[in-house]
Amino acid sequence: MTQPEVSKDEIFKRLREVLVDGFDLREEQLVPTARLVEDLELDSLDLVDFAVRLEQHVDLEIAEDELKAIKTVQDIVDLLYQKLNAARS
Amino acid sequence: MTFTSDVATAPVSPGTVSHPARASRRLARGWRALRTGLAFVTFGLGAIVVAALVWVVARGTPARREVRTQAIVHRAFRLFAWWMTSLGLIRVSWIDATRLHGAGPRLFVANHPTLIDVVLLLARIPQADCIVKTAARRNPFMRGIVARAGYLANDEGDALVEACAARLAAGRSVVLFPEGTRSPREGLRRFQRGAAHIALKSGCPIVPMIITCRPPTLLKGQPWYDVPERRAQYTMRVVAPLDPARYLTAETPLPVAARRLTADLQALYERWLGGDEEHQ
Repeated sequence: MTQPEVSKDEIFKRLREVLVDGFDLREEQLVPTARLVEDLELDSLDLVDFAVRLEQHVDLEIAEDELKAIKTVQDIVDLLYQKLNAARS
Repeated sequence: MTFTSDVATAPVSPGTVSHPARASRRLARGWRALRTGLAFVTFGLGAIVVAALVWVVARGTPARREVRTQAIVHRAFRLFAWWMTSLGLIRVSWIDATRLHGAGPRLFVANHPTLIDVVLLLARIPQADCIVKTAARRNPFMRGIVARAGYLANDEGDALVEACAARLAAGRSVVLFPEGTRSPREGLRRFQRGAAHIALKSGCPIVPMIITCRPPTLLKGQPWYDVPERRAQYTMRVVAPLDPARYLTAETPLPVAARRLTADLQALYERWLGGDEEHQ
């Protein structure tokens, strides 16, 4: 029996917690189209830290190539949606 | 009875400068540009001499070689600062420079208004590891010295933070410009968070140095021969160190501490450069 799918909304909520708690960002900044570097001002050091936090939070490994491809909050949601649901099926 | 004149006279505004005064000013600027050119030619030739000297004198283990090279660079830059002063190009005033000489390694940070800031800083600090642009590591005059002094490249990202923290842990001071490049003509660029990460990782205090240059010269994108009309006055103010420990608590994640420390550092510079001298 497969586990129920995790919705994108749920992932977005969890992601928002990671970004607000871990990087001092405001909730209203965290819209799906927000760009990590330009809008949220995450630098290369933050991105490494972010990947570690995310991996701890969702218990999934994120490859360096996948991390590099991420530009916006929506990109992370899509990546996690795909990985979490692939792991559950 | 009133008389009117038919002779038209050109209006003279208080700011109007006569032809002889303009010519004299042009001449003075040309002379200043010539002396500036001479200073930079001297710098290039001096770099060759220093590179040779370093090759002969600075030997031993890598750490010993690097610190010796830095000491030679310090003396060479002192000489160059004296030369520029003697040529009447600059005047340098230090305020609270005793703060440079505390116990233990320091992370010196500075704004970067002009091309020769690092020269003036290293002329005052006998030992400091610098972070240099990749271009300086490729520059034929500079690359030998840069490599032998162990200066770090600014394109190394996360590894750069580790390397700087390791230098500080080894008791060596580090100088960096948190803007990453020269400041704009007015104000500051947004500070990068590398300095904060290095300070938080190493626990070393940040010693901020506020540099002003009036009139502005040797700005980013400005050719060296575009000289000001008068001697440039550099004021190098060393302000009270910032202790990174107060940003790190058990509940504060490292990225948050780095953001807050960087924001405070930038605000401190904005206050000083904005003329608020009450804040220390």
